[in-house]
Amino acid sequence: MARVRQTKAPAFAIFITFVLAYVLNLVNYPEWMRYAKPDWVLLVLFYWCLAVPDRVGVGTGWLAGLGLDIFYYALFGQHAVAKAFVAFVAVTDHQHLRLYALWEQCIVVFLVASVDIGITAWIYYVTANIEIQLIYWQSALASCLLWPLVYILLRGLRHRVGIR
Amino acid sequence: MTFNRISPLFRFSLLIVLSIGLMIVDHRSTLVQPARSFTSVLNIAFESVVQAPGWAVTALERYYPDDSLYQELVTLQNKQAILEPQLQRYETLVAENERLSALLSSFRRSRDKMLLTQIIDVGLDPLSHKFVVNSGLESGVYLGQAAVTVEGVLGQVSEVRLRRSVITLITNLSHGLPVQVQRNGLRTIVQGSGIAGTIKAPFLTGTADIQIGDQLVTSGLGGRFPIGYRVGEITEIIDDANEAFLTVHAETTAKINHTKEVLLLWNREDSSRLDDLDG
Repeated sequence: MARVRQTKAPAFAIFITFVLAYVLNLVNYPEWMRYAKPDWVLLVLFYWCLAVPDRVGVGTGWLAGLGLDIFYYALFGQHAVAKAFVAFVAVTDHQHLRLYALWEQCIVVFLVASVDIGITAWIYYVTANIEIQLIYWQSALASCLLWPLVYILLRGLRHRVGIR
Repeated sequence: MTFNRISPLFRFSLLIVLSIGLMIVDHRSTLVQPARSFTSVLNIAFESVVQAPGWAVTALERYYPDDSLYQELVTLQNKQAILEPQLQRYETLVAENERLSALLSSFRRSRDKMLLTQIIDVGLDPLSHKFVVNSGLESGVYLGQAAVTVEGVLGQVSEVRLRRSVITLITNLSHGLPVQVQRNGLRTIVQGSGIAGTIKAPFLTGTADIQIGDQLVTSGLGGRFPIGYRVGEITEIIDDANEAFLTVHAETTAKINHTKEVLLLWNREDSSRLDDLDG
């Protein structure tokens, strides 16, 4: 009985954090934050890729992005490929990234989120004729500022649930 | 789990190829439409979850109405009192206009059927310049249908699902709209600028009679948007002697940020033409 709980609970906890991230991505923010919306899915994905790269990796990232494509009414594959990239960076370099100080990780989050926005913005440009504007990258800044909060909260959860 | 044993780089490359394939298929064909109708269920379920707190607040406000609600009622009643007599005059004018048009046996415009619908109160990807309303095939919404607000033209329907429609804004780069200047009836075409709230009129020459502050309304040409809806106000005219055309920018009158209600207009000829295409 105890063993069943050990194998099922962590996966479920990770799933719930992603659901919460989707909700936070989809709620309406005040008008001045229109482009400065933090990408919670990216933050949660980045955390789990650093913490448990054997469980959450490129495939999970891709699926998480596909979920965003569905909820954003976007092309299938658009956010998926961007989030797969995020997961790829986190998984391949997780041993270094874990040793970084929190503020150094913030910088990495900013860079990764910037590339993520670049990929999606470029696909919008090609498929939907939407101009690429510098203002879109406010979101990367918002994500990077929120990284410490997400990191501390999810680390707390991970220790409590015992996800290894 | 054989997938986990492959190196992340290979997995990533594989998924890139898969994503590109998926995007091309989704963009160029209707092959993934069945999947879309399935994901629509997910959309509706999730949007309910996201909107639930908002609904709760509205419900509470209904039980505990505060002073601002009363104020709003008074303002709306006053507005109604002013608009109602004007509307009566309008009705007479419409009737007269139709009679005169019939006498001249010219193009007779049927009265537009319309549907009031709500914007789904979720924050979509801010990059996408589109939004979703909660009416779809069930309410007879069709592709290319005009969407306006009380303030002016908003855009047109670019995707229809069972209970949801996606609206592309007139500010989208690929969107063109036939308009006329309200002051003198000068006809031209405006295009989206790709920037929120801004459109441009790229086909006006230096001799065109146009000034800053001119109101643009739909001209009804092209048959997609009915005639006479407000589109924008000219904010900037640059006359460069080296260019064949003026650079004219306008600000859209419809403010997407403040809008919750959207009117979908039926343009009978347009919808029947589309039906013909389908049939």
